[in-house]
Amino acid sequence: MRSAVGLMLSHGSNVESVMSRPDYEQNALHHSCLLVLLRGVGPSRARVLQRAFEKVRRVNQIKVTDSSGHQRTIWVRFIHDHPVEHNDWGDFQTHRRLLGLITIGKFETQTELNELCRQHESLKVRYGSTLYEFRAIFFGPEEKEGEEEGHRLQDDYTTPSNFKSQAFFYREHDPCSDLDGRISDFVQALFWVLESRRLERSREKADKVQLLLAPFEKRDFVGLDMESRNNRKRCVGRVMKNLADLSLQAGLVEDALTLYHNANETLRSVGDSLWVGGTEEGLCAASSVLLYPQMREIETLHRNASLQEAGTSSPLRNTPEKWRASDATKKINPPDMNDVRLTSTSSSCSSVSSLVTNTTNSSNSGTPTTNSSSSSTSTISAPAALHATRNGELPLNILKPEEITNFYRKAIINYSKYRHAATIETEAALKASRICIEQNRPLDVAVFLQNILYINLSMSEPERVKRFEVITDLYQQIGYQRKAAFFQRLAALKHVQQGSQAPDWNQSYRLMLGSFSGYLLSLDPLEVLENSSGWPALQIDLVQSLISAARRLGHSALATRHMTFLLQTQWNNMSTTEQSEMAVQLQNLSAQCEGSPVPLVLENGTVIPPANLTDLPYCMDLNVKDLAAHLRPQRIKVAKADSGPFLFTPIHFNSMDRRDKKKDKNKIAFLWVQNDLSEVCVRLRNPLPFELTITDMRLLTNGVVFESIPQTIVLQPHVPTYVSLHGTPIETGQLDLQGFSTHTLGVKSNCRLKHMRGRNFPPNYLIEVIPALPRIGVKTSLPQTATFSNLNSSDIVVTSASLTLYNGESSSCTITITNESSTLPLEYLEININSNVEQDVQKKIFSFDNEALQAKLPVPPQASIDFVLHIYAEADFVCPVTGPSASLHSSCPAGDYGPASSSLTHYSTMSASGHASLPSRVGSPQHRSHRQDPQNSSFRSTISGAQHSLAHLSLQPSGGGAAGAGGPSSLGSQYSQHIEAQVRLKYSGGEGLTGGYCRQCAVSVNLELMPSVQVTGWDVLPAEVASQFYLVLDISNLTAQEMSLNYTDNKNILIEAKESCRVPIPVDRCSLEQVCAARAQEAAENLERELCFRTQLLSFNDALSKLCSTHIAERVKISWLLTGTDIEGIACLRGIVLAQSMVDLTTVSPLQWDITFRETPVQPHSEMMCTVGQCALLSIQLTNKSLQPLKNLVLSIKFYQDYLNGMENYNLETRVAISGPNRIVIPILEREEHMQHTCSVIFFTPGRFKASIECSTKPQTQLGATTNQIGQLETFSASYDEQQAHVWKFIPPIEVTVVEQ
Amino acid sequence: MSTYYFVIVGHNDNPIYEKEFSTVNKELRKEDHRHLSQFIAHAALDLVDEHKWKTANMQLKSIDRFNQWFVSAFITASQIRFIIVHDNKNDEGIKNFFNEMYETYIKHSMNAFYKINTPIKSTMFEKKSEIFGRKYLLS
Repeated sequence: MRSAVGLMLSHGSNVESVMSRPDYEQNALHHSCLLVLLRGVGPSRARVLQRAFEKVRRVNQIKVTDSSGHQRTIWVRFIHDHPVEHNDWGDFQTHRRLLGLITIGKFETQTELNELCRQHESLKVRYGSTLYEFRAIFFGPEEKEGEEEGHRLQDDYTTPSNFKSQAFFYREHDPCSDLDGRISDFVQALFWVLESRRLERSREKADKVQLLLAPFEKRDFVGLDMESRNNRKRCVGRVMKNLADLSLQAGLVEDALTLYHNANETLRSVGDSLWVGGTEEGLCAASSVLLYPQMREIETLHRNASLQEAGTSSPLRNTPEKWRASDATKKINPPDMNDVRLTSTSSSCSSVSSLVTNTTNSSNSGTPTTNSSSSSTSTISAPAALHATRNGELPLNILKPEEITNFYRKAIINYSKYRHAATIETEAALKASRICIEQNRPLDVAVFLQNILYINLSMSEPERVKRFEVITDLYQQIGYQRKAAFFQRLAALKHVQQGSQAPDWNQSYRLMLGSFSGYLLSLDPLEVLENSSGWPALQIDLVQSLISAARRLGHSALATRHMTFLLQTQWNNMSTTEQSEMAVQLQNLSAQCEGSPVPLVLENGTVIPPANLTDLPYCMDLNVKDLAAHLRPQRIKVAKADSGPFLFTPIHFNSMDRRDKKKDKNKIAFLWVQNDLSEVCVRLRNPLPFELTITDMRLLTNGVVFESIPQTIVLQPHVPTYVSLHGTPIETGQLDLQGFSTHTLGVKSNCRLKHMRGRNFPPNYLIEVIPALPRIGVKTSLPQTATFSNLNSSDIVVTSASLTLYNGESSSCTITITNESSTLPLEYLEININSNVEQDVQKKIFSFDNEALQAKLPVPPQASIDFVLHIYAEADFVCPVTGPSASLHSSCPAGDYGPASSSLTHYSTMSASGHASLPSRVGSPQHRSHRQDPQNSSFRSTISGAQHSLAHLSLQPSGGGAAGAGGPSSLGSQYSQHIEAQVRLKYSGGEGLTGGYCRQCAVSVNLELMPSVQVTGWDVLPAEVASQFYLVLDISNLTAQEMSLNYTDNKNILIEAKESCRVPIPVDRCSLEQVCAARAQEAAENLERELCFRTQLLSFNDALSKLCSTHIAERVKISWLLTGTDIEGIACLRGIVLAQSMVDLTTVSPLQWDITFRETPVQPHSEMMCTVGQCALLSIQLTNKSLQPLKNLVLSIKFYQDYLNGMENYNLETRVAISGPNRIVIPILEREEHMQHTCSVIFFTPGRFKASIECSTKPQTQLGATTNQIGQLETFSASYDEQQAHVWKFIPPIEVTVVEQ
Repeated sequence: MSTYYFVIVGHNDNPIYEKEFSTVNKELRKEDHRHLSQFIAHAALDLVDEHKWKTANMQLKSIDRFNQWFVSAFITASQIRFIIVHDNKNDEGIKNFFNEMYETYIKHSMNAFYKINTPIKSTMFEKKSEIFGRKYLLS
């Protein structure tokens, strides 16, 4: 009890004549409610009693049938707290009086119960002056086990003796089913007291009434004459107003309206502004009760914590923009209203008559002149008014909706005349704005709310803040988000303003967060960036205040989050200095609590979405990298499905598949391989002026499991930097690359591509991950090259090998393949070779045994296999000469050959002894320089003179020759050649192989081919036997070493470095059958060409020349050895080009010579003797061994003397004579036909003579066109001999030794 | 001793031009004051939007106030809002200023290179507003 008194005293000290605390929640309808204080008492265990509170609160309306049998609806307003001084205003506005008290408490022990009782009593004492009724609700401990059923709580615990209130006892978990009824009883009790008061008041005699006063008026009326006419009217008016208030509370709205009107007029006449205001407000209240009953519904629902779901609460509250159920609708459908408000007794009274009576009554009461009349009016007006209400019609004296605003305005003006009525004024303005909200008149709301700010009300800071919050709430209700935000921010600032004793950062934070929407900010940075609207300066300011509030609250995580949000959303609206300042601030904040991209949930359930610094660092571009070329998966080529005979067809059988691929623009064209390290290259820019450290930068992926490798980088300011991010896909399938995550400035961010604005990034990248493929390592037995090749796809080269070989040399290279993968076997291996030389040359150079290799598969993990690559230094050993003197030979007289041949024979015998005798003119260096300088050639040919008959001069620049030189290989042999080749290995294994994928890598082989030997010149000479010929070669040793040359089976020659020598090689002649075959083939070809209307015909010569060339190349192999080393090689003569005359020597002659001298057949190299003056018979028989007839043959016999010094003397007219012609023309020699010519020879002087017997043909065209045409008509193939000049000699020339007789 | 804070607000509540006019040369708390003006102007947007449908005039007169500050507004045909936060009554001057600025704004928005709703960064515009401000507001 003592403490209760203390409580009272402390309150008492605060008591003033002015209400310092406006009741911000009040609305107009509260004028009609009975005020009940509902208090939890005892230790703060109110939460468990929440259910009881709600139950009590739900009973906010009861229906009472009054003494005259009318039903009235009584409303109750439950409040938590009520300043005692508000009761003082109870005379002015009766609804301010606290009429009832309910306490709810929980106890465990008797002592606790005593305490609850004590608190109840103290409250009773405090509000004792106005309280009508009081109840206490006690919740006791649960029933103990073993106690009999129905054991009552109050049997165990008793209230103290001084506790006089009615108490209800409940067990803790009692459903309290009878509580509703008890509260109804309680309210009913209140009503009856109130009703009695009302009746009392209504029966008061007008001359006896005492003056009702507002608390501050007490001093004003001291010593005034209360009996003056004005004051009497004042008293009566005030009492009438008081009665109206009571009537309104007692459910007699119409009575109240009438009384308010009357009081208003009475008081206006005496100029009692304050009370006039009161009546005006009362009118508004009474009218609102009838017009806007739904406001009560809202109230009820709003109060009811359990019913706060959006669905049940009034939609009007949440959607202020929408047109509300207007007053117009109210008028049109009054029954609606009545259904809600009044339980109609369905009286069938005529509304018209009742209305008439009502009006007359009102008009009567409207002019209260005397005390009696006023009292009588009040006594009779009540039933009449009730009558009208029951008919479902609004009373005629009700204020129209638009009038309500005006009346409130008037009331406020009246209140504003009194400094002490500021609270009343404020409340009135709030009530007015609530009504205007209901009427959907936002501008009026704004006017009323604005007015509130100018009311000079001395109030505490918390009250001021509260005022702002209420204003905010009301602005929000009319959809003025920006205004609301303004006041919300003001309230937030007031909470923590300087000088405030207890700054409430929590409230401040909550309010600032609430004002986000007003500034068009959203908690989600993505949304903010998306909308990009609002006032950046204000937004920045707001977020900064929010950050400081969060920091002061000690919520570092929130502060970091908001700072991140600020940087992310307002980056573009900040200056560079601001940007860096903010970044530094963020760094400082995140030092206390690291930011991470997870939503934060506040205590009130607000979720703060994650904020990511997507543009810090600024990602300029992002490239998904293919695997390294040698690891790149390829499709193992399968034979294409036959798609018909058309190269192009518009019908695609797999079109579905293709179209899908086109649709995915973000689909990456290449593949990644499971378990293979993959790379994404990102170009980042640091927009801050200081070094930015990014740690733990990883790739962000979806889809298949991907193991990302974190990376730490330091970015210099403003320098674009390339960063490679790596990771390994663990599964196969589609990988969805979303972006990357960073950790910078102490904040973890997920930077997704789709959130990076203004860079045209696709929302993600889709990468196909194929099953794992094995990896191999490749090694060679050869040293690596310093430079890599510049062949195509050199990027797949993994290793290299270099080798230097002399032309013609052979070598090998062992290539070791190791399966480097730890699990997958190598099951598929395909090797091919690519190089910068022609395919067929390449085949000659490189070879390997593929079958043996395939037999070694599969290779288990970590094992290795090897194979040998054979390399042969293929080169053109024949010098491809194109000299200006090439045609020289064709004009050479045929007779030159004899002496040349002999000299060559002589030379060849000497050659074994060394090359000292070799003419220096064929020295290779000189030769080479000569070739490069065509002017020199004429000089050289003059030196070499007439006897120079070697092939480098006689080479024919014919088509065939050129083709031979440039055809199969363009390799020269004079210079060192570089050949680049790639040994490409396609391999696969494991699941990747089943998926049809393989990898390709390559070994680059760099081959340097050094010149070894070179054939600089060649000629063909008749051999001693007709079946052979001598191939005479000028061979240069182009190496720097002495070379041993093995040119026939048993002949060797040593050639000094850079020197050359001439070697004769006996070769079998090309048989006639081959010639014939070649001829037939050529004929066929020509025929074909003619058919195809090709103008250019091949000459037979080409074919034959080629034939001879290959004939020689096949037979002649020159092997060489560099003396002192084991370097050896073989040179072949492929590509040698033969002149026509050489061809004749190379092939077996079509003519068979049978010559007898002095009746003895001439044998090769046989010595024939003859005496001077003796006639010797020379008989020559020619047989055509060829398949064609030979035409136009000229057989000539010439004797000459060979001086064996290169000089041959044909002028032997004085020394020898031939009887008979030495020139015989044979028009035609048919196949197998013989021709016999016999002549006699007489030698005049002794000596050694030689006879050159030859048979030549002339091209037939020179003879005559007619025969030519005939010949062509006969057989096409026969044309050969007619077109070409041929010389066939009998070799060796006959030697005759003439002796003296 | 009068200050005027003039702002043109775009469709997304974004300021596209801001300017302060003051007879006081050396403002002691210029920055602070400007910030408050911005907040007041922003809060007044609700009332501007409410009033603009209630009248056919472009001049919305004084539509809001907070403490000693008044807010006058003008709405263009394209719903661009001109707002002046001022601390003394000068209806005629403000009206003239708005009219002149409207013309200037129209001319500026004719520029093919100017995109509606983006900040105005024109020295010509700046100069004009300076001239009109001195002529109508500060005189």
